[in-house]
Amino acid sequence: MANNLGLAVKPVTEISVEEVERVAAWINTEEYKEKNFARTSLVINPAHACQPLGAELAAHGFEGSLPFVHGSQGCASYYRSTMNRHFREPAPAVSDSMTEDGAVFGGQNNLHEALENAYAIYKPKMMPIFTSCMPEIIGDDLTAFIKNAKNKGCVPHDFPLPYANTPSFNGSHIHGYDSMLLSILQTLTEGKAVEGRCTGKLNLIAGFDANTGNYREYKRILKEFGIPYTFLADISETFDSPLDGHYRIYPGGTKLDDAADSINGKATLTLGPYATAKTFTWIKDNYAGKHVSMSTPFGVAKTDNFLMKLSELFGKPVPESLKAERGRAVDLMTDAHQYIHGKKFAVYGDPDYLLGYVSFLLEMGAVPYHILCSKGTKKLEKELQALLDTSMYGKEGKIYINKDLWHLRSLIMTDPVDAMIGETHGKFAARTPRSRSSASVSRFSTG
Amino acid sequence: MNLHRIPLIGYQGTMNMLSTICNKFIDITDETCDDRHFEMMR
Repeated sequence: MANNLGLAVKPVTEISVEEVERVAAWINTEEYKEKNFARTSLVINPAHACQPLGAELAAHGFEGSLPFVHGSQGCASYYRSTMNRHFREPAPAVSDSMTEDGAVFGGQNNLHEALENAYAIYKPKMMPIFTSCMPEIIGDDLTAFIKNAKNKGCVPHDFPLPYANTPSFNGSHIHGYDSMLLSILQTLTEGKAVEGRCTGKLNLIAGFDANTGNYREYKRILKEFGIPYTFLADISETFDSPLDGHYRIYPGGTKLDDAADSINGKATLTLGPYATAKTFTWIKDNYAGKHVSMSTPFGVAKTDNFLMKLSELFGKPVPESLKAERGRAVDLMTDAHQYIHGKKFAVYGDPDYLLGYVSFLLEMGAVPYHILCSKGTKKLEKELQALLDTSMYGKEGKIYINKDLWHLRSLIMTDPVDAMIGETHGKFAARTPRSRSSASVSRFSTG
Repeated sequence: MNLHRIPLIGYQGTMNMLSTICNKFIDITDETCDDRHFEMMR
């Protein structure tokens, strides 16, 4: 046996072609599925990412903001490359490159040197700091480190340095997003609340949403209504800026002054309740005006609720243009009915997206059959079940909380569906050879 | 590719999701059906 260079290679083990084929067939069986579902200490291809990745997305959503990773360079590269691949745009962020000495002596020196360098070289207006696993395991004290950095003059005293502890080994990207957004808002709004002042604006929070088209759509809807707004953590320009021959390190993002004044808003609306749970709790206690948390508006019913809530909060009727759009959506649903009605779907992903997918499918008379969340809670399970119970098409739906995409593959091989909805990591589960199974699995990616 | 530019929320997002899903089913039918049904698919 030789490798690509023609050099002799001694195989560690000899596995026959027949054995490979036997195992390939076996992993598609009920017997394997039972073993797969019995595993407790191993996750294979989870449908979520780690906390710092979510923190970085929130950090990118503000004007002149340079995300700062307190941790190893490799971790920072992972978050950046994930965003590069998803958005096909640059994701400027810095790291203080902790290595072995940082792990032994703590990362304060790394943090101070990196803050000084990044401030001088990249001239940001804010550097949101978040952690990877290493500083969390050794117990770095970010509060003290940042206070010391300002006392040493690494950055000016009034320079905003929000920070969040985002251990990768706990929670998921939505929890990191939540912690970072909370810290950014706490930092920017400190001392900005003015008794009796009202900006007259809506503060809109989309939650962890990596679809720049959604942000633009929210803005279009608000423009149709004529509602002034501040979009908190607006990544639409950051990750969808035009190619015009000029590189901008900080394109777009919510203006820091607007974010600071958001504490005096007329109303605050979050459309990602699971991805902004902590932030919303803090907002309820500290922000002026009304506070509303509701589901991401997927499908007609949830969009109706969203528009009616906007109408109620700002005393404006739903614009005729949006009513006409609703009519077109209903018309398309009628046209599409023959292709989707009764079809079985597997859906997977974040809690806020899952609730939207299931609601949308039930509206279409489709069957949300396998519903999988690899980082969920009992509350989510109950909410999904309640949603399924509202429709006859939800009777066959089964919910799998804290199961991964390798579990989903077993489900698809033993109990096939017609299609999957989720982000692109599901393609490995969707790559189901039809010759081996009756499953006809297609992939509709939202990633 | 670049699906992150296509909204999924709101009525427009609903229409985008439906079109994408239905077109996928139609493509699969086109790939797998016999000639008579191939001609019927639009």
